Amino acid sequence: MRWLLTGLAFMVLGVAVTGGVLAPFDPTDPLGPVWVAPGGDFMLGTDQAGRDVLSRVLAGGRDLVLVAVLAALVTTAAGLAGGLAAGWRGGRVDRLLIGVADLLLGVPFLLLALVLAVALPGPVAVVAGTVCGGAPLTLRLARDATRQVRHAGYVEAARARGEPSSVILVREVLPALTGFAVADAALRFVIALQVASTLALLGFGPQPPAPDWGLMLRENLAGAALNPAAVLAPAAALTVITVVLAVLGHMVAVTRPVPVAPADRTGGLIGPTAPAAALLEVEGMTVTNAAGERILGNVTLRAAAGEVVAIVGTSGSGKTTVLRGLLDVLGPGLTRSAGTVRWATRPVPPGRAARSWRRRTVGVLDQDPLPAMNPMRPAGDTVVENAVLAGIDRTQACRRAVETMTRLGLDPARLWYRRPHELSGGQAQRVALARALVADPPLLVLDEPTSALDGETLALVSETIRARRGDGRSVTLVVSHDPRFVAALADRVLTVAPAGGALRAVLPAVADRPAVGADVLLRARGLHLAHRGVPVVERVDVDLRRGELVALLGRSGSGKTTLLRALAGLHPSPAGQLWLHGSQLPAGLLGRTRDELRAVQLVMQDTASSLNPAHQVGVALVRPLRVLRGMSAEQARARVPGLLAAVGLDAGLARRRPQELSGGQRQRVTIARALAAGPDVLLADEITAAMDVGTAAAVLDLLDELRRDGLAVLLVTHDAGLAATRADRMLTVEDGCLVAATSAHDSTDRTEDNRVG
Amino acid sequence: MIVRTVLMATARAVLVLLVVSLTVFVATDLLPSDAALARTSGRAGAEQLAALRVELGLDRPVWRRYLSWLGGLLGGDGGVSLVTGRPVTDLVGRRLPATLALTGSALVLMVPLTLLLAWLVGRRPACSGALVGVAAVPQVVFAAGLVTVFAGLLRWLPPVSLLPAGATPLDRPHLLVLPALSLALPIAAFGAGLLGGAVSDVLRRPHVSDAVLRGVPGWRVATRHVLPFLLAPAVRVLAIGLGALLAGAAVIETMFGYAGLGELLVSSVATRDVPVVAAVAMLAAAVVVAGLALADVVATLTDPYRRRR
Repeated sequence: MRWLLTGLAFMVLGVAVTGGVLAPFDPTDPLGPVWVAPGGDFMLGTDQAGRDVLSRVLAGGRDLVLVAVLAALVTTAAGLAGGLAAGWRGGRVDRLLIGVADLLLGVPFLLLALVLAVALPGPVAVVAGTVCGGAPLTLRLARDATRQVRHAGYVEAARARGEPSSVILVREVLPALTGFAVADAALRFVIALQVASTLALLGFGPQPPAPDWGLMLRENLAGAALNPAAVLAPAAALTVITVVLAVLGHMVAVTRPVPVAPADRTGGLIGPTAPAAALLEVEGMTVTNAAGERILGNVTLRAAAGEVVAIVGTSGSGKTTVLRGLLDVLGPGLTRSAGTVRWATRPVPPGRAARSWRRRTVGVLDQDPLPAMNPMRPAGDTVVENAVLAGIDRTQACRRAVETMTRLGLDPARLWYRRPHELSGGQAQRVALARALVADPPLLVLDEPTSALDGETLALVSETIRARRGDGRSVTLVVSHDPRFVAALADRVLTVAPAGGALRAVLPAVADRPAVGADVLLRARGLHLAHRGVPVVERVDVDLRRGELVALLGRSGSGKTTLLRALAGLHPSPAGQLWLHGSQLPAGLLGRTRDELRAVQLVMQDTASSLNPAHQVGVALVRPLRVLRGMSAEQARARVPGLLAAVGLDAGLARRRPQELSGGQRQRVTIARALAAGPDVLLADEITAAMDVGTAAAVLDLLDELRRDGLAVLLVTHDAGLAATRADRMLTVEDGCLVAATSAHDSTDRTEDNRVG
Repeated sequence: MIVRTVLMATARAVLVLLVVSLTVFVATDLLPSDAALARTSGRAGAEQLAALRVELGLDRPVWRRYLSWLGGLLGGDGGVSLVTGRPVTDLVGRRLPATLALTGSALVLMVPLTLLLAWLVGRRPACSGALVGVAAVPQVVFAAGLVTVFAGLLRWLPPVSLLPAGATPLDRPHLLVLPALSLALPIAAFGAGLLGGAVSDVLRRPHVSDAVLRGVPGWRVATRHVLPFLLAPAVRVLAIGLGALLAGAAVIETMFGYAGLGELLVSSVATRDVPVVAAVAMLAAAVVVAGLALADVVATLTDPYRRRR
């Protein structure tokens, strides 16, 4: 469809510009009586001066279109340049450019063109008007696109490879913006043509007797009853060009929805048999995506009153989809194509019935509670709203809200009127929990509680689940990839069935630990870390020895990621010093040599933007090989299958783009990219968070192998159990200081004491 | 808090108006041929031209002329038309009611249509392509098409909206139909395109899908979780639409022979009648700036992240 429109656009523009040569008669020559209807010699009749309308229409587009093309190119170029500058530099430059853009947007550009037409020639007025009306729009869009890209993980990875800004702009940023620039130029052309034709109609364009569509509209309006074609023909010409280009520009500009990643597994749920009398029954539920492919097949789930049912599975297997499918809140493009959901033996059809069922019976705690709350509504209001929706009257609802909040350790007097962003992270999580529990819902659904919640809130969640167990009226569904958490709390554990092959066994034996060497690879003394001006951690001292795995624990927001970024050079510490292999290491990226950049590699947590969506996986893996290890293109490409196999991925993935992979696969690709550089020190930020136990174990096994060859690993994790069993040492960030726990072997009793963040 | 916001917005608006006045003056001052020549159509000799220039005050330095013009405007005196010699305020005053009637009726059509279309496009982004196509059609084509169909072919309405001398548009409302429609419809499409993006953005925010997840009924999601976030963008788009309306009025009035301020502006541009052009442009600018200042105030007041007392 796109290619058809593009071809049509070029054809239309071509005809408009060159049509004059096809004209049967001289456009300026009065050949016949005025306003003759179409027919005979004159296919479209004659106009107000007896000239052939067809010839004038064919010849009348050239000046208009050429001026409009010029204006569009100038506008898009100006807007793009401004947007790149504003988005890339940020700060004052950004604020200034945005202020100017907003100001210009408010100016009626047609009036501006008109006023300028007093003094300047028509074409200049058109260009000025289009720039005024169009450049601010382009600037904003380009700036937003650049900003997104600037903070993307793949741009930071490129910076960490020591690539200069110019190279990054060309290789990483511009590919994202080319499509946008073309689409934008088409849309600005439309504005330009509107201005040009309007000015022409008002008499500020080509002067009579020259043929011009705008002029024709004005001249022939009076005789519209006699020869409507004299008005409709130029009108149609203008309409066709503007509509074709506008629709084309719009289609290219509209971002394509990210294709739904196909599930790794499409089986049903397997687990212990369900009780006969069930309160919640899901039978034969199948979820398909927009392309008709089955994401989830034939899921059956039954839960009796008082039961706690857990759903576990590998990353990307569709655990969350099961929940969303039974609640009828599947994302765009997904539909529940088969199956029934029954509550208390009554079916819950999708649509309005499901919505009112959710209102009355379901309480949900989603993965990341803070963005889920309306930023304009205060905390108390949010909690009361849920109670009111469930059918409780207002005064009772307020009382319940206060009760629930107090029970969860929140002080209603202080927090009632605060908006979500005025609460601390932990408080916001507990407000979300209060919101889910206030109406004492018969069905409570918890989606990945261990991922984003802090220790205290997680304890409250566990307490709540335990209280509901066996109470004879409620059902609790918990989705998690942490089997230890669910094992303690659930009555039954169901697994999303793999398509083939059993799940890898749980954590391997601790016995086979690689030996830790004596020499220190990376040393830091006296680092002082601040985040946006607020000091986070002070007087940090870290030693990483050859072959050791050091786990770094702490609450979210405590500074673990900042510490890793400081060591990697992305967030240089203003104080303190770093040593690599005994010699001083510059704090920031700029001072480091290529070998130093290669030696210290950072694997970040956020996988949504850590890979460039315009590049295939293979390209992402080749870059560090070429830049940091100096390989040639063929050598680098030859290494790619091996890198992918080492992290347990199929070599065929090299041709895929990141949007086509699941979260766990993307994380493994970023690990492969870091390992491609052949580092001596690996800084890993929550790399196993999105993975199930089997995949995490495989990745840690790989790191163990590399540790035998001398790799040192600093692993940030919130999973104290993982740290306890796999790490040689544990460090915790507590109250702005780095505290060393005793060695992992002794810390099994302290697992509960260690703060999990 | 509200008082402070309004004062700051007013101060910004005044500053912008000053800048605009400077721009308008400079733009209209850069004439290849000046008003003296225009007045005498090139028939006068050099001394007569010089004398005329002194009489018209065209020999004073630029900044002097600017300040005296600005002072005059603020005092309600826009100078004298260089072509007809009549006071500008007179000309503007006589044509103002006609333009008010036209833009008023167009506004009444445009505002609800913009909001409705924006909501539709926001709910179903697939329709945005159709809207973009409609908004792409130039206003002049719209007007010409409407005239050809309704006046030329169907003859339901007159093709031109010539008001007899002394009559007000309200005496003959049918004269306003075609001009108001051709003014309102394209601008509503353009405004809906701008606002539709904001609507679909808000609809995709996590707290909205969370509200749906919690089972909040549709109307409540709309009023409590969506509309408060659309207030500021909507006012801003309507202010921009108002500006476009004023600009479009110039074109539509000319096409329909409707004796309003827009037609005055266009003919003054054609005859290089600088004081009239400047005065009408400043009037339009004042209206637009006021609209945008209001939009700013609304945006600040509805920003959930601003610090409260």
